Parts: sequence; C-alpha cells; structure tokens
Amino acid sequence: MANPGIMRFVAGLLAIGVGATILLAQGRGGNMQSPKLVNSHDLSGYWELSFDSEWIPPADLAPGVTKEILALEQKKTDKAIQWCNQLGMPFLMGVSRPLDIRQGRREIVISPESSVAAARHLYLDRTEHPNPDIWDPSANGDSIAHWDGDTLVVDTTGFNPEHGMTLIPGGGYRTADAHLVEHYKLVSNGNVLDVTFTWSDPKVYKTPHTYQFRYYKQSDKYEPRPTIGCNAFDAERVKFLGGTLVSPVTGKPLTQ
Amino acid sequence: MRVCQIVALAFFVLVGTGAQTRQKDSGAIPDLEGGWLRLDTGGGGSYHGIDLMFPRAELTPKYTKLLPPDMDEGLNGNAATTKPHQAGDPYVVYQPGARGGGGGGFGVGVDINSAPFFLVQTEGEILITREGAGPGRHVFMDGRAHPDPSEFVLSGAGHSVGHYENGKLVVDTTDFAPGMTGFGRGYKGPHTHLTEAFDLSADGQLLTIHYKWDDPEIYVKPFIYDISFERLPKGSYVTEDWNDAADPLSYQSIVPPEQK
Repeated sequence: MANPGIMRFVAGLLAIGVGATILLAQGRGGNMQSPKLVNSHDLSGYWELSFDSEWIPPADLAPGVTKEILALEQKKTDKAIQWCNQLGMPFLMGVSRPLDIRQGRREIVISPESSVAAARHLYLDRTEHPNPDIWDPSANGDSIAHWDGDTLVVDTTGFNPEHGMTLIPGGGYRTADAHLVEHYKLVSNGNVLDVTFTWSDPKVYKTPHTYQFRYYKQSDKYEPRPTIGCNAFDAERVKFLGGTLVSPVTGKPLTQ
Repeated sequence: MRVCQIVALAFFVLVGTGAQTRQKDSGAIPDLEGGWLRLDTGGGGSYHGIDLMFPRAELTPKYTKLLPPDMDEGLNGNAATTKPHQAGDPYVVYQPGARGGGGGGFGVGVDINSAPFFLVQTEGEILITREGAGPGRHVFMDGRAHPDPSEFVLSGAGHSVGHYENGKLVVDTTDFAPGMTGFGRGYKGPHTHLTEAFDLSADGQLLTIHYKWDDPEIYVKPFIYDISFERLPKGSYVTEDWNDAADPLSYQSIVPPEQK
C-alpha cells in the first residue's frame, strides 16, 4: 500500500504535467482559452447585423447643410448605386450579410460579402495616416487602429467625397474633411460585437454624430456565399431604380 | 522512491512532448501576412502577352471544344465584343467590374491579376483580398471538409481549405462554377481541384505559388505553373482600385476613330 502523501504528490505532479502539455502543445502559454472564455482582443469571426442591431439618432447638422446640398449628396449616392461603384464607408459596415473580420498581427481586415465594396484594412502597425500629399482619397478612407483596454479604437480619414455612397446613417454625408472614430468591443461573452461610429466634420455636423451597431457572431462553420452581381447595364434594373440607361459617352439612351 | 522516479519520468515526457509539438507547429507556419505584388518576370506587356507566358493546358477533346477561339486565332476570345462599330458609334465595352464580377472570390475568382493581393492569417481562416471590390478568398484552416458540389453554391472562387506542410501553406480548392481558368486556356468545374503551395523564400521577401489544376475529366495531365510575388515594403497600404463605368474617360480609348 503506497503512502497517501506520496500518492497525493504523484497525482499533483501528473496533473501539472498534463496541464503543461496541453498548454505548450497549443502554443498559448498561460492564456489558453476554453470555449467559454473570450479573448477580448480578438475580433476574428463572421459578424452579422440583425433587425435589432441599429441605434441611429438623428444627426445634429450644421447650419450650412441645406436641402440643396443634401439633394446633391443623394444624387451622388444614387449614381454610385446605379453604376455599381464601390460604395465604401459607411455602407460597408451596414451590409446585410455577415462581415468577415480577420485579425492578424499587423492589421485587421474587414471583408464584406458584397460585390460593390472593397475590404477595409485597419492598420495596427502604424499610428499616423499617410501624408495627405501622397494619399489618394478613397471611399473607404485610411484606417489606423489601437487597443485601449478591451476596446479597439479605429481612426479613419482620407475620404473621397465623390466616390461611393456618401450619405451617413442618421443624416449628413462624408466629405474630404470627414473624420470617423469607431470603438469596437465584444459584449455578451463574445457573442456580440458592439461598434459605435462617431463622425466629425464641422461643415456637416454641429456636434459629432454618433450611432451604434451590434453584430451577432455567426457559427465558426459559417460558409460565405457568392456575392450578388451588379450589372450597371441592366436596363430593367436601372428602370427599377428610377433612372434611364444612357451612354456615359454620349448621354444618349442605350439599349442592351 | 521508485514510484516517484516513474512519475518524474512521466512528467518530463509529457512536458517534453508538448514543447516539441509547439516548436513543430510554430516553426512550420510561414509569415505570409501582408501585401504581395506579382512579378512580371517575362515582361508580358499586355493582358494577352502575360497569358502567353504560361504553359498551355492540355485538355480532353470534350473540353477543348468548349473553349472560345484564342486571340492567336484572330479573335479576342469574347465574340460579343468583336462586332465592328462605325466611327463615332457609341457602344459599351464589357466591363467585369461594372457587371459585378460574377460571383465574387479573388477579384472574380482564384486567379490573380496585376493588382497586389493582401493576406491575413488567423487560426481558423486565411483571408486573401485584393485592391478593388469583392469579398476575397476565404481559406478555411479549421479542418473542415469541402461541401458536396450539389449542395453548394458554385462560384469562380470555389471552396478552399488549407493546412501548413513543411513550412508551406497548401490550399486545396474545388466546387468551381464551370468556366475557363485565368491563364493557359484551362478549364474548371465542380470536381476540379486546384492545389496552391505558397512557398516563402528564406528572407520572407519573395513568394512563389505553385499551381496545379487537376481533373481527369478535363485535363489530359495536371496543368502546372508557378507565379512569383514580391512582398510590399513595410508601411505599404491598400489603395483604391477605382473602376467607374459611368466615367466617359474610361470609354475614350475604344471609341472608333474616323477611318481614312
């Protein structure tokens, strides 16, 4: 009969050994996660908006924002939709299908299941935006990101006011001077991604405009579907959108 | 005392096994994250010139008949755009970007083009995107199997799974929508398999992808070629690949001039 003290020592040593083996094999050191634990600094996964996902208060617009200006921005957005342009931000974060968010070591990529949006790249490895003298403004803008506790803070500038869908949820529109700050945080034990969007632009907003989206995490086995194509030369589609298919060259009506 | 010796031995064996496993895994995973630009090593000079740099696929007679005429045979491969137009006659050029790309994927499928691609590695998935619209390619690293083609929405990008093998990322893609491959006048279908081995140079600056298309019904023998890429410098960022079908300038070069 073995000594009970030795048996306890043996059991303890074996438990440590097995635990250390699992930890080392998974390469996670002391941060090994069980399915119930959440790494608050990893947003990787598929995230989808639902019917109760959006909190969008009306924007406090600057006095200079007239009905005529808003009509012009609406026209830009209509044109971008009709011609299947890249729609950019903020459309990209509001697509009806899941966003694939993948977090690497140097950047986080947000890829929408959409044929009219390009992936966003949130750079973790730099703290400044490119020099405006060399940056070509874009519909997505340039995004840099850092972690502040459990919150990912994303700062975006460098927008092209002529590219894509410029209208912003709740009112207003993005200009070349627009500044967007987003805060991403996992809530509900990692099953919900809470994102607040704050747009600042003195010419458009009297006070910064903030709204909030909540994305629900999809199964790890989610399979993205092919995107729905967009045919700018589909006369029936253009008619549905309230327009007429015309030649961009001559302005004359086109038949297919 | 003997019991203690056995336990101690078991302890070190267990810990040692774990450490070895970790070392093997981390050592076998190349750092592919970042932007990659295709090296035009042959100086193709044009879309078709680049295509000519690749070997020609050897297809079975059934699939050879499916291919459109090659540019070398006097047509540009897209019969719809070969009808002559009169000078000043406005017409629209087929623009894949304007028509939505036909199903997403890596641009419009698995084939690369002159724009750089960007790769981000995570435990469950590798995401490959490029400059321009489209959802990119999703390479699942979680051990899942390919879906049955009859229960899957086929596309130009197909369905990709990957694993690391001897320091390379190996990606297997199938479930393709029927159509031509981007290079070499090959063909792909629901049961075709594309194997891509991502081979990183020792200094991490050069990436060669070894491609192998295989499908006994389509190919007489596997269709194999390589494409090389250089890593974009540190601090590089994605720019916007803007293609506006409404922009008259994008039509300028193809308006037929007066013939004299």
